[in-house]
Amino acid sequence: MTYVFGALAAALVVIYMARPNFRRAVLSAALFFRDDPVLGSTSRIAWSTPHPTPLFYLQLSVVLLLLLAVPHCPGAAVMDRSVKTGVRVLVDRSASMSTRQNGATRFDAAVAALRSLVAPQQSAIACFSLSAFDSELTTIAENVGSAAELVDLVSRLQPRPLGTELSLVQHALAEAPAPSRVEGPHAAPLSTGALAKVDNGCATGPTIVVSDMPAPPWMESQNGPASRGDVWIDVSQPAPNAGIVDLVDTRDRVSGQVQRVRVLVSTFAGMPTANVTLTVRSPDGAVRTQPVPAWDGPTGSVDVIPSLPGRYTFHVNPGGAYRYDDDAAIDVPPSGPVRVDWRVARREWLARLGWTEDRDNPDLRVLPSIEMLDTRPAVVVGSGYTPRSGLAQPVTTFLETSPLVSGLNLDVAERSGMSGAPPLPPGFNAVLSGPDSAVWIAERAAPVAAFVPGLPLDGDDNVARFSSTVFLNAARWILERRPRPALFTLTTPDQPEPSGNRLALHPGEGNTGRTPRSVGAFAPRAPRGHQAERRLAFWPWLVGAAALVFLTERALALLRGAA
Amino acid sequence: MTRSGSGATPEALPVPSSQLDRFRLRLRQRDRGTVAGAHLIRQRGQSLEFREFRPYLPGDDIRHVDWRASARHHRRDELVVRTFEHEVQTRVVISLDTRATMRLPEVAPKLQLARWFAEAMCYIAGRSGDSVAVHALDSGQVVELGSSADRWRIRRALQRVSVAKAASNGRSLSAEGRTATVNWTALERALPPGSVWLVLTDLYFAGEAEVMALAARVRNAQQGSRWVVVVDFDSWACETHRVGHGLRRLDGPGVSAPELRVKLTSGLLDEVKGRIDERKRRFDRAASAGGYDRLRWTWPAEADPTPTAIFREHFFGQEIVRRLVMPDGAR
Repeated sequence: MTYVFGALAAALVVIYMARPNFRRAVLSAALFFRDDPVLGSTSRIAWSTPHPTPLFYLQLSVVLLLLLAVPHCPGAAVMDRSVKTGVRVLVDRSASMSTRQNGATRFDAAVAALRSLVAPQQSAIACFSLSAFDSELTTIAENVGSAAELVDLVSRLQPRPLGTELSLVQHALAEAPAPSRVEGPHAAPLSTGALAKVDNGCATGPTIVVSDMPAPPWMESQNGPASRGDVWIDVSQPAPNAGIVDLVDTRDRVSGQVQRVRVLVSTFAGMPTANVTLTVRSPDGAVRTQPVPAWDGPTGSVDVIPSLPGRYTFHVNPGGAYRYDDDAAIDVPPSGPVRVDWRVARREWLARLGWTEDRDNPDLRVLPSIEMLDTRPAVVVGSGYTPRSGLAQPVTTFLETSPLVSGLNLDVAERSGMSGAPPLPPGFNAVLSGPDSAVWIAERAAPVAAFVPGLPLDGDDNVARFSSTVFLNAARWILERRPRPALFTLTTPDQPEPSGNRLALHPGEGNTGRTPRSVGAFAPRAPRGHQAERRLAFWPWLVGAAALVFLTERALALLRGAA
Repeated sequence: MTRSGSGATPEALPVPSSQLDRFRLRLRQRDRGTVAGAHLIRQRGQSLEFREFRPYLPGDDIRHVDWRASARHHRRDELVVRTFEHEVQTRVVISLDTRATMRLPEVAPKLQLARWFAEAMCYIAGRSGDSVAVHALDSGQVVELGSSADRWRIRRALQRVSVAKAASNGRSLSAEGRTATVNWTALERALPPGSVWLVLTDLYFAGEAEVMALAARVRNAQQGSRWVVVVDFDSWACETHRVGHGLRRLDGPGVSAPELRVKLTSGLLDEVKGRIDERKRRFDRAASAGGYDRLRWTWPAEADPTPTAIFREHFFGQEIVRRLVMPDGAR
């Protein structure tokens, strides 16, 4: 826009300069020039060569003075967006921003804070870019022209029942280059305000983060965002709240049966714990409301034994300032025996272990040969044990951290006459091995599989216990690694709304008792024009001189014209 | 004794009465025989008392040539005639053009020179015993002065006709003519046959019609054996010298919006000057009927000419003026 106005002004100046300087001349015979065919142009904007008269030079002086004043004029600098600070705004719209404090939500407070922050600095800000973050960082608008427009855009946003991923903010702030990288004639106004990026001609500098989270420590680290002029505004204020902070289930390691669900309830910001109750609704419709019995400071827990599969719902009362942690629901899956594809002898072990045979959809396959392996979880058993007295199988290497060797007596192993493993396919790691590349126990992480020397032996001697331990270690290791359905899920950006057992129990969102902590003071560096105005204010003198010369020229023109 | 001397105000004639006293009106009826039976002059006395010698003028009776005196005269080609006390009393009417064009140039307004000329003529005529009237050319007002040589009275009369014009200043002559029919009548009454009519103007009328109307009036006036002298006040040289060359926004009487924006060059000025001269020549042709003369008072091509110098140069230096007045010393 500056250039448009400049071009118009220049055009006007050129037209004025080019306009013939008709001096007034009084003639008693003037009427004889009337209707004269040889009259010159009567157009006021007729083009002609300026005459090098004293008046012309005075006019030229006016133009030169004005041209000199333009670079110093603050108006020109203000209009020149390339030398003004662009501001990037990151607004937290996570679930916790819906917390009510002082009669309004924290998001409302964020809007108000942003308005009060940027509106007074509007003249020094060329543009805004707006992003929102929760579990993801989303660009809302680029190159927003005014503070009012920015605030309007922010006010149209709403908190989403998602968590707060501060690492995204940290990464975004880290995108800002170091001040040393800011170069060129337009860098001075931005000073230490980093030139983060240029969008549609708007260079964004300082970043304003508006959140209800305290400013992280990395904000004030050496050469951190605060040192580059970025600002973290924490709009939170402590607000009493009680809510479910986690649901912890305990399952059988082999069968996966949910044995217990511990509901963790916390209070924040002085919410009294005595009156907090938890209402549990079972799948059979039974409702039981009970005070939270065990408090460890602000956190209490309620253990729920899910005797029935199905949905259990929980409700905390009173809920307090944050609502997304007041309710929760879990879906307890039905439990059943381990399904096994048993391809080896001694099938009586199925009954002994309480497993059922299922060749179509097994949880575990027990195979006699390594060649039968596929991608399904499997235990490959060797030819078995041949206990030998006095003939040792020295164990030279064993993987101590492997669950497969948990509780094994290696002295027994060396006398158990373990059958060695055949050549194993790639992916298997030896867990227990001896000299001459002898491998007795091996595991494969993916697809999960294990090799053991043989099936459990009958009896009650050391070798029988050793063989049972090896086999069951392998079976448990594999069965523990099978996927289990979660009791609940968390909301995601794709599915942000809580529904059923999709909960908004994102860690820390319900913590309404944090101490607010803001970092940095927003002060966009004035553009060069403003700085010049404060330091020198040279342009008014140039304009004044131009005005004086102009008046002089006009006076002389009048005097000469009247002559 | 007159009430005013040389005049202290700018409007006053900057010539002392003592200097004007050396002149007397020297007028003769012209073309006496053109109007059969007409007695064009009134006798001032019954005697034939010799009064003076003077150079022979066209129209003089050849019988009054004094050959001896002519032979003694230092200029051989100039005859000398005897004049006698019974010379006629002459009627002089001075028409003053007071339009806006006459008020320029500001450094030496033509109207000022015209008034000085009129004042001098009125004074000399009055001192000669001749009857004088002043007439506003455009308003038509006639102020009789009789044979008064009172310069103060003369000046007041000239002031009256000038002020009377001021109200109608800027109107075209043709427009004024329609409302001043009686005024022409007043002039005709004040301008008997055999009288002298001096028209002081610059002939810068708004249009050709106005010029031709005046020319026709002049021509008609000559039919009564009147001598019409149009004194052409021409300040062109001075004014064009002042405005110079180049781009100019011309202003002046007869010019209204839109303004005249011209590039003044020698060629353009010469062309316009030629147009003005052509108009004057057409005026001369239309006005001339035997008793007509046009006397040019030209301003010098100076930026700041002195009005007094202009007056003195033309009043005392022009041949035709000497035909109007002559020094008393010639007696």
